[in-house]
Amino acid sequence: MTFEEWLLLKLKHIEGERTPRSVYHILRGKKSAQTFQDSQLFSLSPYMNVLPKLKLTTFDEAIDTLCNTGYIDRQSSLVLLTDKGRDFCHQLQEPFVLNGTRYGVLTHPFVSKLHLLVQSVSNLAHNHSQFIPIVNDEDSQKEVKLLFHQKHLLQDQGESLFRELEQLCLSLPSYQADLVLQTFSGYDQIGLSYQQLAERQHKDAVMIELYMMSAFHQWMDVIENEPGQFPICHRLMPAVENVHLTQSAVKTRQLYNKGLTMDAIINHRQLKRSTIEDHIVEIAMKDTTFSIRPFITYDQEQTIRNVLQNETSMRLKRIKDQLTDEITYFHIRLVLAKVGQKEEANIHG
Amino acid sequence: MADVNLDKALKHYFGFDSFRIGQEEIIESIMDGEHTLATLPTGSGKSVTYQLPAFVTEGLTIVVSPLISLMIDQVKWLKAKGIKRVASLTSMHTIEQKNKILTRLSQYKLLYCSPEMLQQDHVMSCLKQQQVSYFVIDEAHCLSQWGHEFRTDYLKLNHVFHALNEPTILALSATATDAVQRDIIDHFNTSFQAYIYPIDRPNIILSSVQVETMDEKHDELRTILAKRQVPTMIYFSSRQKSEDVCHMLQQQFPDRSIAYYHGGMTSEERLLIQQQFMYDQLDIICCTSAFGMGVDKANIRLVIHYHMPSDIESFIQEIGRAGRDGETSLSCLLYQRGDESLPFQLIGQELPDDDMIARFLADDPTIDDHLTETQHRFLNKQIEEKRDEKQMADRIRQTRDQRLVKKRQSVMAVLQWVHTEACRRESLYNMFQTNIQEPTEACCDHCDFTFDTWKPRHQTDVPIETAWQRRLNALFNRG
Repeated sequence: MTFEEWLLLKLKHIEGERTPRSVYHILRGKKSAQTFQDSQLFSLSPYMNVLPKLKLTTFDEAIDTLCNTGYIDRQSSLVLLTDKGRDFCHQLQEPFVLNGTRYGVLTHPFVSKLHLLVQSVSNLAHNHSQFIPIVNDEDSQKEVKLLFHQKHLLQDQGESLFRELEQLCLSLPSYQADLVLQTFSGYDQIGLSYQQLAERQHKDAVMIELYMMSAFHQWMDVIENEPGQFPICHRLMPAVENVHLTQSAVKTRQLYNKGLTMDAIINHRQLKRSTIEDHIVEIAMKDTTFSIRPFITYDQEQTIRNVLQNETSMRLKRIKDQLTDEITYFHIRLVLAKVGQKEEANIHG
Repeated sequence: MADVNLDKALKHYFGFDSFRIGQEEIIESIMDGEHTLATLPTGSGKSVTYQLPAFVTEGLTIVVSPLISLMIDQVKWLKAKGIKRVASLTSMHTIEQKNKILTRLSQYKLLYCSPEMLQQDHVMSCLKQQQVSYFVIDEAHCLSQWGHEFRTDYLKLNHVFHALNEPTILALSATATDAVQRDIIDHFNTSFQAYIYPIDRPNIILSSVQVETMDEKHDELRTILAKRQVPTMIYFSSRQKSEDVCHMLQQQFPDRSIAYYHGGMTSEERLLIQQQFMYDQLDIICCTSAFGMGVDKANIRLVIHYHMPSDIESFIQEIGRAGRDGETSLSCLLYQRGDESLPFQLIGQELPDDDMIARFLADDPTIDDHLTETQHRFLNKQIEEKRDEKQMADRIRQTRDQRLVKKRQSVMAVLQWVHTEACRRESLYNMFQTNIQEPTEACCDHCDFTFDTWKPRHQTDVPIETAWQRRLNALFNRG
C-alpha cells in the first residue's frame, strides 16, 4: 500500500464534512480542541499523532496525487471521494494497528529511551563502556541512567532485557520485527534511520514510519497489559497522567478544580475567552467524568441533542443555524464532546 | 609544572602513548604561563593541547568556539571517555540548563563557550568568581578581518580577557595567514609565543577534474568510485543535490552502503548517519559542510568535492578529514564550467541587499520573513556597532560591500587554484607557509599523480543484519 492509498482510507471518514487539512492536523497531533474533537467525531482517534513530523508538502503532494488519479474530487474544498475512489477504498484494508489517542504522544519518549537502554546494555554485554549515546535528549539519558543503575538489569548481562525484547518481537509479524530491530543501535553497529530503511525496502519513508508506529503501539499495549511480564520495558513507559491534555488545558483544569469560575479563569490566566472554552471542551472530551452541567442546562443539552439526531452533518454552522441564539458554539461543542465520547465507547466496546 | 608527567597524563586521559607533532611544545608553553599562538593542521589533535592542561591544572579552562555543534560534540566525546567535569554554554541551551551550569562552575575543569555567551553580564559575573587558568580561543582566525570567517563577536574577547584577570591565552587555528596571526596578537596587545606548524598534509594527494556538463561530472564521479571501494566523503553546497546524487549512486552501486547528511535532517537522523560512518557501516557519505565538525574518523581515503567550496580555508579543512591515520588518501575537486555561480549566489544570500538594509532600519515589520539567518545576524550586529554614527545606512552598505568583495575574492582564489597549471600543493598552501613538506606517496595531478596508479586497498562496510533474531543475539552478545 502507498501512503496516498492509506490516506484515502482516512479521508473517507471526513467525506463531505471537513477539508483534507483536518486529517493532516490529526496525523500531526495538533494540540487544538478542534483537532481532538474531529478525531473523535469521525473515528479517526487511532491515527491521532501518528506522524508528528509529517511535512505539509508531503501531505499536499499526496492529496494532489489522489486528485490526479481521480480518487477525490478536486473541485470541492471539503473532501469528496469519486465513485472510483469509493470503489477503490473497498479493496483496501488498514495494514496498521494504531492507537494514537493513547500512545501517540508517548511513542517518541518511549522509543528514545528503549533505543538508549538497548545501546547501553549491548555495550555492557560486550564489556565496553565508552560510546556516544545515540539519543541526544538529556531527559531520556537521565532516566535511562537511573534505570541502568538498578542492579538486576546488570547482573544478568542483559539476559532479562533480551527476553523481554524477544517476547515483544514474537508478538509482531516477523517482517515487521525485522524492520524494527534494524533501527536499534548497539556495540557492534548503529541502527538505520527510517529514511534508510525506506531506501533499502524500496518503500515510502512515511509508510516505514507508520510500520514503526504500528509496531511500537502494539509493544506498548502488550507492555501495559502485562507489566509483570515486562518489568524493564514497563519502566520506560511515560506516566500516562495528564499527557492527553495540552499543557495549557492542564493549567485551566487546575484552576477550575480549585473552584474558579470561567470568568475568574479568564482573568487569572489573561487569556481569551475562546481559548479557555477550547480547554473546557478538550477536558470534557477526554475526561468522561467531567460534568458539563455548570456550562449548559439540561434543557439546552437536550435541544442540541435533538438537532444532532436529525442532522447527519457534523458541521457546526449547520447545527447552529437550527438553534436559537441563546445556544452558542461553545454549547454545541460541549455536547458534541460528550456525544463523541459515547460513540468512542461503542466502537471500542 | 615539573611535577606533572605529561606522557602519563596523556595515557591516562586519552589513552595515547605519545604526542603528535607540536602538541607537547604547545602544552608546555601554556603551562609555563606563556600566551601562545599556535597553528596546527586539521586532524592533528588540536583539542588535546588545551584539554590536557585543563585537566592537570588547578582552576577552570574556558574555550571559546564559534561552532556550537563542535562544542556539543566535544563535550559528548569527553563524557563518553569518562571525563565528566566538562560542559558547554551556548544559545542552544535553555535558561534552566545555563543556570544549572553557572551555579556549579567550580565543579568543572573545562567549559566550552560561544562568544556571545561571554557578552552576557550574568555569565561574566559568574565566571569572574572562578579562578580561570587558561583562556582558549579556538578558530582564532575569526578574530581577523582577513580570516575567512570573521566574527564580530570575537572582537570583544580582549575585554573578556581583562575581566577574567588575564589568564594564559591559547589562540588556535588551522588556517592563519601572517596577516591573520598579526591581527590576533594585536587584538590582545600582549606578547605571544608563536608555534606555527606547517598545515599541509603529505599523505593527501591533490587533484581536480574539469568537465563541461553535469552528465560528464556524474560519469567522472562514477569512474572514480567504481574502482575504489574505500570510506569516501562527497561534499555538496546544496542539500537537495546531496540527496539526489546519493540516490543516483545507490542505484549505480547497489552493493555499497551510501547515505546523505545535511542540516535539514532531524538531529536524531544526523546522529545515526554520523555514527554509522564512524562504525564503518557506510562506504560513501554525500554531505554538506554541516557534516564533519567533530567527526574524527581515521580511515577516510577519498574526499570528493562535487561543488567547489567558497574559500581556500574551508577547502583545506574539508580535505583535511582524509587520511588522519597517515595512510595515503586522495582529494578530488570536480569542476564543471560555471560552477562558481553557486558560491556567488550563496554569498548573496548571506548578506542583505540595499532594500533589506533600508527596510530593516525603518523597522519594517514584514522584513523579518525575507531575511536569512545570516542576513539577520549581520544587520543586528551592524546596528549595534554603528548605532551612534551618522548616515548609518551608508556605513552599513559600505561594510556589506567590503565583505562582499572579500568573499568574492575568496571564491576567485579557489577558482584560480582549480585552473592553475602549477603544482597544486604549492599553490594551495602558499598563503599559509613558505615550504611544502615532501609528499609521502604522490603530490598532485600536475606533478606526478595519475588516477590509474592509485589503487587503495578495498575497505568494505559490514552489512547490517536484517533478521531480527540474529540481530538481537548480536546486540546482546549471545551465541
